[in-house]
Amino acid sequence: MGFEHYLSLFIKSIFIENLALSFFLGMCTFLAVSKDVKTALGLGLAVVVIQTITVPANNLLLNYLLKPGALSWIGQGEADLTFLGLISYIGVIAAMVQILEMALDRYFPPLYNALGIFLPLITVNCAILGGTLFMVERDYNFPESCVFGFGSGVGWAMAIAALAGVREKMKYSDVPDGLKGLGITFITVGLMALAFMSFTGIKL
Amino acid sequence: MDRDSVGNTIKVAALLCVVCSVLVSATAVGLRDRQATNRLEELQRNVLIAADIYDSARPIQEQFAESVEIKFYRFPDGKFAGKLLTDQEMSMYASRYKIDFAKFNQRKTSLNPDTSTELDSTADIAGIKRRELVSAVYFVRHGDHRNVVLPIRGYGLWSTLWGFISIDESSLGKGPEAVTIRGLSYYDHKETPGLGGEVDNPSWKAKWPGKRVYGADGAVKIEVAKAAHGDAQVDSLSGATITSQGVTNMMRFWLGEQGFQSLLLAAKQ
Amino acid sequence: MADQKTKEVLLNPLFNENPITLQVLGICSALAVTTRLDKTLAMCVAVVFVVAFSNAIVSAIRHQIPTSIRIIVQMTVIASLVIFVDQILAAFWFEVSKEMSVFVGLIITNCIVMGRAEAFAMKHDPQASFLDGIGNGLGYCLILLIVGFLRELFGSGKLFGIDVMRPVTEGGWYVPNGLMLLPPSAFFIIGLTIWAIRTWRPEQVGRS
Repeated sequence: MGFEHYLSLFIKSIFIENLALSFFLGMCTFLAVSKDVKTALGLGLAVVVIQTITVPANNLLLNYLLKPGALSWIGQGEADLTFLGLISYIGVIAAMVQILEMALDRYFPPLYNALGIFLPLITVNCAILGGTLFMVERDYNFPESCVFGFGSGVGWAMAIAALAGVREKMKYSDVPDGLKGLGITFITVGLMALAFMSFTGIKL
Repeated sequence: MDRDSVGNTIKVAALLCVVCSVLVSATAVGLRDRQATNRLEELQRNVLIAADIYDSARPIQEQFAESVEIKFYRFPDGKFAGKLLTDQEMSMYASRYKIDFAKFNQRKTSLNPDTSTELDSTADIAGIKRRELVSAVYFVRHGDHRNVVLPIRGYGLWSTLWGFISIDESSLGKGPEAVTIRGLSYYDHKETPGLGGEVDNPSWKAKWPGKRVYGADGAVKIEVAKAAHGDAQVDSLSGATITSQGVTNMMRFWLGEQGFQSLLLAAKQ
Repeated sequence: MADQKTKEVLLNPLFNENPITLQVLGICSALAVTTRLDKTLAMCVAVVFVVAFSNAIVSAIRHQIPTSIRIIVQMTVIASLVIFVDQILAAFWFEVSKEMSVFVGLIITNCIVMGRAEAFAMKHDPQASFLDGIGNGLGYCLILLIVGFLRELFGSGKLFGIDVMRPVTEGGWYVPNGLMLLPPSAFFIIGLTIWAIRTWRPEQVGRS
């Protein structure tokens, strides 16, 4: 498991298994907050930060508290708490978002001003919970989950920035009335997803 | 009382935690047995399907109990050839590696670093990362049917496919070219429905029985190919090149030297 | 009068205020489960159940919820309900639950559930909230079932796994359209559905 392994996982989580364009996670914010590139980049950055923190944090939670046998360090080797997974992960995510918001406000006001309004949106962004659930399902170890968290965040940010770029240009196109706004955005995302499908099956 | 006071906040939070955790735990504990039964029956049903004797009208566990005998196979490991474990060896493995043979769980065994070995990238053609030390082998006897059902798995396009392949027992011990497939089944995968997901399709699975596994030299010959011809090729799934390639790879791995080859090519026991 | 209002709360989300096509909520989990109608239906039932009950519960305790931990309280209620559904599915509808894997869990972050709890249940009584939940759940189902119907019919020539147009691979005449089974097709179908709805109801244009 050398450097190569992590690099390929990183590339894979950005392009081949892009959370937004291959798994369609975080679509609500993806469609709603992609009207201009600047806002999209802000949200993207916030997702990268939260994803990089929560996926490894939930990985620790899974390995040291929830998994069957994980509680052996306090003598409860038999306990299987995986059914509490969902509620714990979302708790971690909500708490991390809250903590990050307070920490940024206190120590990095400029960054807080840039990200501030997006942070609450992130708790209900399925890309964040989805990232954690994929980590659980694929049984990543701790370093892998760090790489995967960062990579999948970057992939999502890149996708929303790209969509925002397209939508900015689309303001000047002549779209049929009924299709304006949401309709054409869906179709654009469909085409982008189709383009991203060319990455599928690439083995690194 | 002021609902935004610190006291009330803590009270509401604590109360909510208690109520929700009781609800969630009660559901989970109450339904655990039923879910475990579902998983067990799913596995057993697929062993029976692979052996082509599944009768949907009868309880799965009953059918399984009357026609299947589970033995354990140790994969080849450097200096040792692969072989079925004797009772004595099983108790040795049970104490040394803490393997619970009565409740053998292939997936857990393959994930546990104590009971599996890591494969390097040249050996790992099926994309499974780790191979367990021992595997369950199902000997299915049902009237004239005599099958050896072997667990296989490998990476397709999106996910690892878990399944079983069944080999006609009467074709064993007559040289490598005689070894004949009896059936195939997959019980867990996340391939694209309708494309790669068609590995589940009965009409595709029906193409497998009668196919030969090995060439004269004992190398794995069976493969999934476009416009298949001959007795060692099966038509690939349309629109699912990668999944088809994955199926070929997992055959090469599990029926090959690192898998069950020494079980299938040993002289008749 | 009361009946009129009930009807409105229940039916408005179906066409006039559809959560997917107008409010842009809950698309995330919608797309992945629409390749087959049985999966789609299971998802619909799960979502209607969760959104209706989470609305009712949140509304019932809305006077007790402290503002500072509002979001987390709502999350906890929703997450508990989702785990409940997940466990029930795994016990009684095993085949479907196996294929839906992570997407049941993702109902937690389905913005419809959270959005209705925050926007409606916090301000209305439990009964109205419950109906609002059912209405929004059904509005979501409507779009999901349209998408699921088209994708399964044209993608594999089947409905609920039963052959409608026999595909060539099984000796029939229909050549399945593989694109329909791939995720991007869901976007095209939803995009075109929105176009259809907005042509029928022009007042919805550009409001989102």
